[in-house]
Amino acid sequence: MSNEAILESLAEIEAAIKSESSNQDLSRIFTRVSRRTPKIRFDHTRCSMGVGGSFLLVIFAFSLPWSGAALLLIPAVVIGGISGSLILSRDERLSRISKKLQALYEANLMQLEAEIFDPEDKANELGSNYFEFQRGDYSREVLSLHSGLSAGDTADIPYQVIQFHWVDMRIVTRVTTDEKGNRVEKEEEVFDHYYRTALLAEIDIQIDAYIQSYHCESMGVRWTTTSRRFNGIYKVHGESEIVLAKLLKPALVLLLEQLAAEYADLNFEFCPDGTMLISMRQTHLLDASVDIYLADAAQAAEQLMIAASQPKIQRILSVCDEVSRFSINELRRNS
Amino acid sequence: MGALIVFLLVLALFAALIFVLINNSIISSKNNVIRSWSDVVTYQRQKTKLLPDLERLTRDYLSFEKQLLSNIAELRSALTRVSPTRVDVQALEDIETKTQNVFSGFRAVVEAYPELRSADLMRDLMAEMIELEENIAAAITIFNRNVSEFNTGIEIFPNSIVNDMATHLKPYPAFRDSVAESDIEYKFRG
Repeated sequence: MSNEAILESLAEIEAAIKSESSNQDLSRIFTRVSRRTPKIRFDHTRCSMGVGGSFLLVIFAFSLPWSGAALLLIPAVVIGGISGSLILSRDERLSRISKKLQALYEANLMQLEAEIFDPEDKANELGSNYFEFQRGDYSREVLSLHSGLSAGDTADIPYQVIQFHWVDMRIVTRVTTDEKGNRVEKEEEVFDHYYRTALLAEIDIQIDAYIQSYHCESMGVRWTTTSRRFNGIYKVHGESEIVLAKLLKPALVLLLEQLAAEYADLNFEFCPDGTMLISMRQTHLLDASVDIYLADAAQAAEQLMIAASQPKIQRILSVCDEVSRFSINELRRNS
Repeated sequence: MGALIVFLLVLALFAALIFVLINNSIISSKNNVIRSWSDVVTYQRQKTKLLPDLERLTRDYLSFEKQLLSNIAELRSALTRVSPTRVDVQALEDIETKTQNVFSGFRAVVEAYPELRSADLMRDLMAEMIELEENIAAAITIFNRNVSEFNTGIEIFPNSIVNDMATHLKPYPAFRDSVAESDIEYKFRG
């Protein structure tokens, strides 16, 4: 690869950064660039030779009388200086582009709007609608809340990604022996911390239904599906058997079974205000773990392609879409 | 001697309890098979809701109408023959074959008349068909899983003894979903 080709690729990437391209576009640009320059790395052979040569000249110059040395030192310093600064400026350019690229990628990911709130007040506000936010007998707090809009197959879905933390307190009795050998019982408070991620989506359906991986009393009528595997994973409650039967179509039952294998401690809550809450043990739904290395353009293109689609969020949002497709139509048809 | 009698009594009581538990689990498993079968039949019967629309759509396309209408009539009659309380995979196979006859006939009409593809009714009908077929496939998956659990439940030891002595149930045949292989039909694994 010639340095000219590398410069051409870099110019294309810089233009993409300047125009704030989306992650999908960046992925396409990298795919194109990787065909021309699979490795974006400058060839420093000539410059290195220049630096090395001038170094040797400088050493040689010191063995000469002053007048002869001056004649050699000046060109040696000039050549060495130019070659060295060329190497440094090229590497600095690569590093600058890498940083800008990473920043743009992360900015693209965080297009979700962050909301500012009081953590406890927000937890209480959400707790008035969803059982998930009522968990924790000692304290509860919403750690972060981001809003976004997803273009679903059936309709656009406004959604929020919520990070939630709650604490349960329990008293444990520890038995020790004192200096005299007497048995001493001491009660201690133990705090259990739970970190959860939830996705709250607006769906066009007003029902009261709960599909949960933990047992919770007083949630309405109990329902079991024909799948023993599903019944082993989830407990289903809701406003009436007919609504639950219409909601849990066989295709949805199988989908929720699959989802339980992908995410831990899944719960689904359908609220009469037309929202659906999907919560799970803390999961980084937004995948910001990708490090874009310019040196390997092909790998960067592949990583960008996977991460740009945000597979984890899309997977969860696809459930909202499937609920719409399989169950909402049926619930509407029969309402 | 007295201790031995007490021990034997306790053992007999324990054996009776195990017997009752196994008996109940077999019956519960059988009921689950019937319930999932009834789900399959319910979704199969929902096809009858789509048939009038199919007839209406193809009425104007006379060259295909005769064969298609006769296929629809056969499917309708097959749907009335299947019982939600009696597992009959042969009847289900018959329904699936007739469904495929109707769908392939309908596809032929659509291919012959591209303008039909853009009709709103046609689009709604296709979406409903896909949704229904997905639910039928899922219901059959759940049914097969329940059949497999039931069959294992009556064949393993000591359940097989309880089944021979009390419940006298026979294994249910499962349904093989060969859509992925042939793209048109389910076949009975006998």
